[in-house]
Amino acid sequence: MGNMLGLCHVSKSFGGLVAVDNVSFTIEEGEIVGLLGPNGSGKTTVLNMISGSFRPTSGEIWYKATNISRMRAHDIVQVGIARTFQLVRVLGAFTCAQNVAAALAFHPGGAFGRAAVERIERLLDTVGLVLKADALASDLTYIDLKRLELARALALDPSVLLLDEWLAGLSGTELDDGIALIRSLRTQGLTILLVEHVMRAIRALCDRCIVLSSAVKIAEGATGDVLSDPRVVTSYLGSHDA
Amino acid sequence: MRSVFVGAIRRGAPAVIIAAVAVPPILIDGYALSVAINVAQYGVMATAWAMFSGPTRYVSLATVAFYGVGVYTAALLGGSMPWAIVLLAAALSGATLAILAGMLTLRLSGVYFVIFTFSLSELLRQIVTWYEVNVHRSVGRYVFLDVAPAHIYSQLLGLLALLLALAWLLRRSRMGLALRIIGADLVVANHIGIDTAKVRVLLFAFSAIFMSTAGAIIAPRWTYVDPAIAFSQTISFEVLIMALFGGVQLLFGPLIGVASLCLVFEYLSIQFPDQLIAFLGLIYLLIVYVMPSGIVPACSAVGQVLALREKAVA
Repeated sequence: MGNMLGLCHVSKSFGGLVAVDNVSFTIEEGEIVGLLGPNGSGKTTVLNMISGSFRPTSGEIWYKATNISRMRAHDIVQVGIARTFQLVRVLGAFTCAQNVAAALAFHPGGAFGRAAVERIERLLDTVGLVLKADALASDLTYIDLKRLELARALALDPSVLLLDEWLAGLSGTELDDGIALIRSLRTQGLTILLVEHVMRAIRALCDRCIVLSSAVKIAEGATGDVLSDPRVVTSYLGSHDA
Repeated sequence: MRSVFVGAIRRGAPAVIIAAVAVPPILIDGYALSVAINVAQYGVMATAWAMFSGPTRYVSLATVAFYGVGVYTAALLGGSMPWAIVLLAAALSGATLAILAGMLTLRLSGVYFVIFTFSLSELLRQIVTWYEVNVHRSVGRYVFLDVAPAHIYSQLLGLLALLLALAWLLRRSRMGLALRIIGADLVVANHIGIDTAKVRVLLFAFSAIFMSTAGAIIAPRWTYVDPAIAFSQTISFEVLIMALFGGVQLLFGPLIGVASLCLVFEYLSIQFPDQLIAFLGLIYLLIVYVMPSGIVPACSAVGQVLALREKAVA
């Protein structure tokens, strides 16, 4: 067990607006960690910095022994970090198989052309999309879009997976399936950081949680403890006398 | 039906190209040859334009910047250097300019890229004008190079064949896939490990090489050049419209656009020299509103509708 991911006094400001303020945490290999907080608290900005969409204004981000704070998104993928997006992004004019093929084509452990066929099928099978391999991504339902986005992230062969509200909008059995799927990824050795609002999923999946409120980290610890922490309850529901 | 139609054109177009190459240029002369040279020249530029702008959807108006650089490379070096060196120098100048421009425009997207490329052509025209006036002491210059029109035509055809072969390979390569992903979603492209900046600059340079080489090959045909001729913005717009008219998604689409519009532009520029740009605008509107994917897909869509109607009647 070692540190897979570490944030060290990371801040990000856009002009005068401080989106993330001096946040530090580490994630160990094989953990599933929840990143929680009310809307606008800076969760997605943290994911964007880890995945290289933005550079931190100050502070450092480490992947194992590599400082990735100044790396660009395409290099961070090569290092071993993949993500999904809060607002699902797939290539609409490509089929499901082509979407996965696209993700397999540009990293060292990947494959292109005929060599990729079998892996594409296996990845689509993992997320339960194998029957829709030839369907256009733009024709998929919401849940299937999410599955496809996950297959694409897994095609990048990551050791750290960042999921941005991947379970949002799922209900009933879909949610159960989703939770089981993420749990199965951990048994394959993935380390997962997930931004999530669905409490049932957080309780079922996360070993630990980190809570942000108005750009600052206000709590960190075992899921049960964090969710009953009065400061966390206040940040979500407002204080008693407000 | 659609696939049959597009398939027929896909199979037919190479046959036409081969036929055109197979006709020895010596057999045609005079006006026909000058038209053929024009088609070959625009064929190279429209195919090269579509190779970059088609999949990435970065609309470039720098075509004439690279073309003009090629023309001037030949005008400056043509008299003193072997022809092969001149062509190589033109290709290198085009590539260098494209890499510089590409690196400057990496963060630009959409209309800002269009405006930058348009300005680049204008900037080069001004720089060359300044040089010609202050150093060469005359705005225009004569290009006395003894290259027969038939020879120019064969060179352009050779360049076109090379370009089509490379464009065909590109569509099947990882690089081609990267370009299509960049065009579809730049953020996704970055997050699946594509160095989008590098891919864009490389392909921009690759397409520029063909534009500037075409400019160098055609230069001896002009005998007189000045910056207003070599860097005429109309050329950029014509290339863009021809490529879009034919359809940038198909390998031979731009060439079909060139073949159909070259004669139209030739006629219009003789009959209505002052209104040419207005006609270009009208054709552009026609493309945008009636057949946004170009004439080949539009024809196959019409074919589909007719086939359905036939079925309904039967």
